[in-house]
Amino acid sequence: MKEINNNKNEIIQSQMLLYRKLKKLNQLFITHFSTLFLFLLITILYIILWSILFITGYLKFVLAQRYGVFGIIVTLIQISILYILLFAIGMFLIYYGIFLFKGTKSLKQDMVKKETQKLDNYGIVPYITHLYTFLNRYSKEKFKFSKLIDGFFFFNIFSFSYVFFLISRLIETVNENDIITLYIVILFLSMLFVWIISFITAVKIRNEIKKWENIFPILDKWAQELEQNLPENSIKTYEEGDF
Amino acid sequence: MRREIFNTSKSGYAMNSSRRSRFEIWSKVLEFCLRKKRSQTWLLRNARLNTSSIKETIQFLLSRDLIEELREGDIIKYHTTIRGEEALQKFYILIKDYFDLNSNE
Repeated sequence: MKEINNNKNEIIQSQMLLYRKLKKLNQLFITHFSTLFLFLLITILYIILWSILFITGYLKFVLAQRYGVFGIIVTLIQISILYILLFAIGMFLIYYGIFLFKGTKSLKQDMVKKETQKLDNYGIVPYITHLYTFLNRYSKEKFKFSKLIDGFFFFNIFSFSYVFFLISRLIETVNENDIITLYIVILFLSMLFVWIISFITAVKIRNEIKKWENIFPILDKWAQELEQNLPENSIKTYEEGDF
Repeated sequence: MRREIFNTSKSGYAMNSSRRSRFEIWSKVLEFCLRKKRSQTWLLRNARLNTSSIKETIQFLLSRDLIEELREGDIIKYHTTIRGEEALQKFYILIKDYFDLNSNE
């Protein structure tokens, strides 16, 4: 009986430590999701502002004036890239959103059960396995998820830089109008703030996910051990070298 | 709808899924049955597996003495054994140790 209680206590201790780690990771995902959402809003605001300026005649097409047809083509390409970026960011938001909705729900459920001291919780395994499913869904066997996450990371930097560049161009191309210039500056500074937070969280998420990706083969090894161990054998203890 | 692909290996219950790995399913069921006895229907609903997969999983865990079968009237329920608890504890320790080792580096 004492042995059973000791086992349960050790499980609870390990659970609590991992719970804190997972909560931190989930918070990183939430912050990153929020910055992506704000980025999407700022980009939409930029498009609205651009359209208003275009309709009211405040906008000067510097490139078109300077380079003629070539300038118009470059402007059209710039706008097309912006719409592709918007679509991609929207897709990211959907992926993250689904993951966060389920993940946060399972962590909250766990927290509520712990607070009421019932301890008949579902534990944190559902969150770990949920994370595994999330990582696996977007990576093929031949394609490591860390490479995909690097792709996300560079896409993140590229998209922010691109919109940043477009907003800065808007300041140059707008005819002198103090109110509009003020709006653009506010948009520019908001973008800078969102970018810094998004960049920091993207770096942290990238590092965390790379760690988790290395854990999953170890857990697969754990499953292999279970498979090989018949009831008469004891469960193997892992050495530090196994990591 | 998720598609589960299970293969049976020489050892009898080896499961391979393109989406869900063995550790994902086994650890989940072990934890679900850790503090409360759970019926197959409950597991089916909460582990989000199809009937044949949950039956196969239960069969495997029973064969390895990781869960035990308990009868409550007409209903058969499953509970994690001490051996199952040890296995689950190992699962947590593996993750915890991995993070501890990496944070020390």
